Amino acid sequence: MTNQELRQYRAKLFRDASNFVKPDRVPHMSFFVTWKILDAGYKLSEAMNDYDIMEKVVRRHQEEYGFDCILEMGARNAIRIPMALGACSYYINDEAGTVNFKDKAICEHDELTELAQDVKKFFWEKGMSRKYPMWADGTVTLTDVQKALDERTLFMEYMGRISKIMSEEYALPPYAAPKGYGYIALDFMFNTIRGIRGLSIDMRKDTGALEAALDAVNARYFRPGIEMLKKAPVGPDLNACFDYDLTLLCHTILNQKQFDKYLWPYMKETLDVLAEKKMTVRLFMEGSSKRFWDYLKDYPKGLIVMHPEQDDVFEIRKELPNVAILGGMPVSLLGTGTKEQCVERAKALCEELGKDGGFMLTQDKMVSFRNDAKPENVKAVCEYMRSL
Amino acid sequence: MLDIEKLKQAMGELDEDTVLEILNGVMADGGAEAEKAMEACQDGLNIVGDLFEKSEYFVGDLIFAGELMTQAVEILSPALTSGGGSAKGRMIMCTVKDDLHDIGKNIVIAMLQASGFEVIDLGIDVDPQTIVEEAKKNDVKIIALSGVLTLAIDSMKATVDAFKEAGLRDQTKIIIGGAPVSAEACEHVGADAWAHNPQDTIRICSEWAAQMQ
Repeated sequence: MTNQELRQYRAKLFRDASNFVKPDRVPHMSFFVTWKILDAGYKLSEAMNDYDIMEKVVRRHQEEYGFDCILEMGARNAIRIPMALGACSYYINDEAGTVNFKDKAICEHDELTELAQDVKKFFWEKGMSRKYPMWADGTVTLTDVQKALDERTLFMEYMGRISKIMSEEYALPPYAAPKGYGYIALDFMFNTIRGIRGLSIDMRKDTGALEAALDAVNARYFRPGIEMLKKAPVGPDLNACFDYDLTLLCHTILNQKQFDKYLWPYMKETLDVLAEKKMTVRLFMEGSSKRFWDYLKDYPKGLIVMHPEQDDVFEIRKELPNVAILGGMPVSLLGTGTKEQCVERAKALCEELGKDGGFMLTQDKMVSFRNDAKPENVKAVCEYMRSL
Repeated sequence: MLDIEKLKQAMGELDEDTVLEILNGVMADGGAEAEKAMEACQDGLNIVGDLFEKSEYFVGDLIFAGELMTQAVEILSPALTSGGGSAKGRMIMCTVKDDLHDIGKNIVIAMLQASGFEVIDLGIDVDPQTIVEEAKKNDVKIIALSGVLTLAIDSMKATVDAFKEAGLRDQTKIIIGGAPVSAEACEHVGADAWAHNPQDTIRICSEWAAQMQ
C-alpha cells in the first residue's frame, strides 16, 4: 500500500467501526499525551518549549509503537503563547515529570452581568489583567503582545507541519476533520472563565446572571461554529477518523437540574445538527459518562463515538447499543499490569465489543505521567492490534 | 430564639439567604446560641452528604456547601468557645506528592469535620515523610490521601510504604480517594480502603474511629 492508501485504510477502519460495520481489524488510537515526551527521554519543559523536540517525540512515538491514529501531537506546546505575556496555565515539574493545570477564575461572580453585556470588552478590560500579571500592572508593551502573536504563529505552523508529517510520512489520518472541534459554552465557563469553584457558586446563587453570561459567551464563541456546521454539506469527511470532537468536562460537578438547564440544551443542539448532517462525533467524557446515557439512547448509529474515562465499556455497550465506543484500555493496567494481561484485555475487548464493529481501542485516560504505562506493555498491545 | 430545625434544613437545601439570615440573627442576639447554630449547620451538612449519596447533589453542590459552611464559621466564630466537633478524634488528610488538586480534599475535610472528626489538613503536594512525621507528632491513626492525577497512585503507594518503613503501618488506617482510585489501585497501593465520595470516606473513617476508641 502507498502511504495515501494506508492513510485511507486507517481512516476507513475508524469509519467502519463508528458505523457498526465490521472493520478489517479493530483500529487503535493513541491517547498518549505528555507520557510520550518522557518515554522519548526528554524533560517536559524541553519538549513543551521546543517544536523541533516535540516533532521528534511524535515521530518516535509512532515509529516505536505504530498506532492507527495519534490524537495528541503537541497541542500543549501552546503554553508558549500565554508565556510570552508572563502567564501559564500549567505547573511543569521536570524532576517529578508532572504537569498540573491551574484552576483560575478570570471573572468574579458579581461580574457575570458585565461579562454578559459585552464579552469581548470584558476580556480585554478585566480578563486579560486577571490572566496576565504584566497586563495588570501596566508593564505590558507592544513588543510583548507582538511576541505572543509570533508565538501563536509558530504554534499554528508547528501544528500544520506535524499534521502534514504524520499524514504524509507516517500515513496517519487526522482524528477529526478540519474545524471539527467544538466546545460547550458551560465547559468554557468552567475551564476558562470561572473555574470549578466559581461555577459551583454561580449555579446556586443569582442564577440569572449565569444564564445571561452563558448565552452571551455562546453567542460570541460557539453559535458561529454551529451556524457554520449547519451550512456544511451533508455527509462525513472520510479523510478523518471522525468529523467532530467534543470534550466534556463540567458535567462532573452538575446536579441533574443544572445538567438539564445549563449543559444539555447546548450539547443537544450540536448533536442534532451533526445527526442531520450524517456526521460522526467523538465525545470524550471526563469522569463518569453515565449521566449522559439516557440522553444519547435515541440517536442513530454512526453519530456518536463515546470515549469514556471511567465507566465499564461492556456496560455501556449493553445500555447504549447505538453508540460506538472508543477506549477500553485502562491506564492502570498499562502502568501496573504485565504484557500478557494487557494483551488479554485488548483481546477480550476486540472479541466482545468489536466483532461487528462499534469498537475502537484506546486508553481510558490521557496518558500523562511516566508510570501511567510501561513501554513494553504499550508495545505488546500495539503489536497485538496490528496482528488482528 | 434559634430555630434549629429551620437552620439545619436551610443548610441541607443550600439556601444561603436563610442560613446567613439565621446566623446573623444569632450573633445579633449576643451569640449565646452560636454553639447550637454550628451543630445545626453541621447536621445540615450531613443532609448535603446524604443527598450527594442519593445523586441528588453533585460535586458543585458540595463545593457550594463548603463555601456556605466557611461563611457560617466566619460569622459564628467570635462566639464559639470550642474549635468544633472532634467527638470521633483526630485524623490527617492531604493531597499526595506531585498532585496540586485541592477541591476534592477540601470538600471531604468539610464533611469529615461536620461528622465529628478533627481533621489536620496538610495541604497539597505533600511528601510521604511529612505525612508520617505529622502522624507521629499528632498521634494520628487515620490517614486520608487524596489525588486526582493518575500519578497520585504512585505517591499514595510511596506514602503507605513510608508508614511501613517507619514501623507505623500496623497501627495506622489509610484510606485513598479521588478519581484514579479503584479496588485494584487500593490493592496496588496497599491501603486499607478506598472511596470515590465523601460519604463513603466518612463511613469508613467513622468505623475505624469507633474500633480505635
